[in-house]
Amino acid sequence: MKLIALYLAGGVQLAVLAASVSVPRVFDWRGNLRGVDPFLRKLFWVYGVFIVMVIIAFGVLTLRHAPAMAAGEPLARWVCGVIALFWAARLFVQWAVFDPERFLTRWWLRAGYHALTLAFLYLVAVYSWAAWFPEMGGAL
Amino acid sequence: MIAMEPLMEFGLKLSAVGLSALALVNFGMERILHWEEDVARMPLLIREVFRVHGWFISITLLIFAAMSWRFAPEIAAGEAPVYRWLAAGIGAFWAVRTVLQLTYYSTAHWRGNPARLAVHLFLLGVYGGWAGLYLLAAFQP
Repeated sequence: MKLIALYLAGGVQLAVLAASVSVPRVFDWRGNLRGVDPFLRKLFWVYGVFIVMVIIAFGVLTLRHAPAMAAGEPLARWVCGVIALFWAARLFVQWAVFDPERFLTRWWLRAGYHALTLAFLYLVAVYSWAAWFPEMGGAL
Repeated sequence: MIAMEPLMEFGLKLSAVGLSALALVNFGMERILHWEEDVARMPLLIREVFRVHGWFISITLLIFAAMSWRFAPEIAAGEAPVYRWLAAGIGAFWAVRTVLQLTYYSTAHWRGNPARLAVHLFLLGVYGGWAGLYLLAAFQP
């Protein structure tokens, strides 16, 4: 059960990433960044590239090492713990920082936003489960 | 012949300290580099995304630091495939960062300014060093 949930979590992260490919176009990042200082503009894109790399790494690590995560090997538990914290922080941002109301003008945008929130919740739950309730037991 | 494993373990622990320091600096970057006015002029969504991405880069660096500190002996020993995968992931992250430092940022930021040039060269060395260290740990025989 946990193994399947982890494989699904790996896929969910790659799906979130695939969906986020359209974000710069939908929110016209290029146009909005036109008046911004060139260094900050470049930093903005560099930050974005590295966030994408991190999510790819989380997804690939999970798909490649889900059995170790499900079994509760120490490093795998740590990886699950930090991925859970990462997505918990993202969930906090979703609720406490972003104010998306003025962008959610279509039903499918609203549905997508709520689906994203559910995906974050799922990721926090599954990785927390794998990190804090290992099948092998033992100390971290 | 120098024993590689203790040296690499020390390097990984040192790297964990450096990564933590960089994460903390990154949290305060806006104030340290006096970007407040430039950031305030950004459109609301861009400003929010810029800040959130910055926070998550810091969180990622803290994750790298915690893993490197906790598992330095295992990563240095290249014990199991999962340790090598982790090292390869962190190494690839810093390799890309090194390439971007050389190719993406305009040289106009440090040309004719020795202090900025020194910072650029320092960062280039640190990023390249981290890439080398983690990739060595990942692909050691």
